[in-house]
Amino acid sequence: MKTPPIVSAQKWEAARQQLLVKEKELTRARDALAAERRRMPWLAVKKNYKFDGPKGKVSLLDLFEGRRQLILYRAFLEPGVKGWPEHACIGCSMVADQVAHVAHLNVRNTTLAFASRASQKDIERVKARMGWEMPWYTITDDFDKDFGVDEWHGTNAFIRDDDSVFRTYFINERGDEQMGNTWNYLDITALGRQEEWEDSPEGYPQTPPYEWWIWHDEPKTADEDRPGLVQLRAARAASKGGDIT
Amino acid sequence: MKLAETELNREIVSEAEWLVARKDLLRREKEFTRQRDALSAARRSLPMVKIDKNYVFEGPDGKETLADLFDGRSQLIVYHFMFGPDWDEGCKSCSYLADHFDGANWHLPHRDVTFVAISRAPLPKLEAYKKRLGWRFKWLSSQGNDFNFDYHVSFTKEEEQKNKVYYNYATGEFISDELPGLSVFYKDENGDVFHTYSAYARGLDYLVGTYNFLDLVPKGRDENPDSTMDWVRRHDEYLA
Repeated sequence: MKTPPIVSAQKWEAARQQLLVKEKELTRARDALAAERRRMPWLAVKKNYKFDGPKGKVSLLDLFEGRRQLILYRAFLEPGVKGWPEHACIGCSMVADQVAHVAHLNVRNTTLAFASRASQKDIERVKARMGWEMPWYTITDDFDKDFGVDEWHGTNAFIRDDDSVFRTYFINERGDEQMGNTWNYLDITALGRQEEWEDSPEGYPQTPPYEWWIWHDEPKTADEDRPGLVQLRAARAASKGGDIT
Repeated sequence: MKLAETELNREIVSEAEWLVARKDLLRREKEFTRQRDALSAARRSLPMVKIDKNYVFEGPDGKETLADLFDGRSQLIVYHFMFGPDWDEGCKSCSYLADHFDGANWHLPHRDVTFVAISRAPLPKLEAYKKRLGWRFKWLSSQGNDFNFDYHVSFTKEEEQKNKVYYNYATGEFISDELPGLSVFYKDENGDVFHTYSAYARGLDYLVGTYNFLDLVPKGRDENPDSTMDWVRRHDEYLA
């Protein structure tokens, strides 16, 4: 690997200062985007959706657990998804790994939950196996279709006014990356995500995107037939563009 | 809990109108994602500084040098966790960030990255606090070496008296004897270690998954602009 120039501390500082100006611009741009999100119009949710939860049938309103806001991530855990019945989809598993202690969201009057098609029994088993603790519900009706998550992962945000529920936001595809800080950490390393699409200096190690993902409890192997890799290749081949960039 | 009580009143629209507004915002979100990719590319082109000092840390595996901490990988991320030698607890805001470390750390080793936290407090204090909050990441003490001072996250009594410190690439007033930061190092085939990146203050913001979630909801982070992390507690100290 041909590295960037190796310089004195003083020269590094100058280069770092220059980059910092751009980083600050992006931080401000991100604040401005979040401000626009807070001004998005709201869409009333009129259907009475039902989910299965650990204690039986619940409504979308129940998913708020009494809090003001609800973020609902649609994870693929169900028959037909590679990894079943041991695992959720590899990417959804990676997202689930990165949900931090939910206490911090809860004190901001916000509940984070996951939803899938698998039964509660199956969901409980996979949660226990992977050490995940967020609430996770079973979709039983057209919820996934109506909220754009019947075929692909995605995140919906809702707010409630007493018993009325409103959809305020939806994001999917690369928009879901911001929910995981593995990507954020990799973006500050010298080598980046080490994925082929990245604009990196000549000769940097790079592999196809997605294919390095693992289930965190899977045995270490370089096997090309490992289930995660097979699943990802199939999913990418089946998806419209297959291009994350 | 009526909306009218809180001045939070958004226009309520039809699905078609909502989609128009959402798509307009999506266009700008995509621009932002591309800008962010470009910025990450610029980071990978930053020059590097060779490290000649021999820092030795005290950790769960005994004494280890900065080069040892790579643990066989070529990249090392160090979170500078604010925990001064005479403090009884780690900083509460760093603890909030630290609640996000372990999830990412399942996956970072698979991209040739080792992640550790380093503080000036003695190791037994770090280990007791880590146990209390249920964390798994490796945490080492830099007590007795210059590491925290060299990477501008700990400050001397002299700097405090002069009320002048260098932090986040600028000189400003003294705030605290410890401040948050994150540094990145690279180790080449010869075993030489280089400093590639450090970030401080709001540069750490996007490592906080909770903020990323809160940026999606109508009320946002809902913080006091003059003291943003006022509401944060250690996760075992929230009342409800």
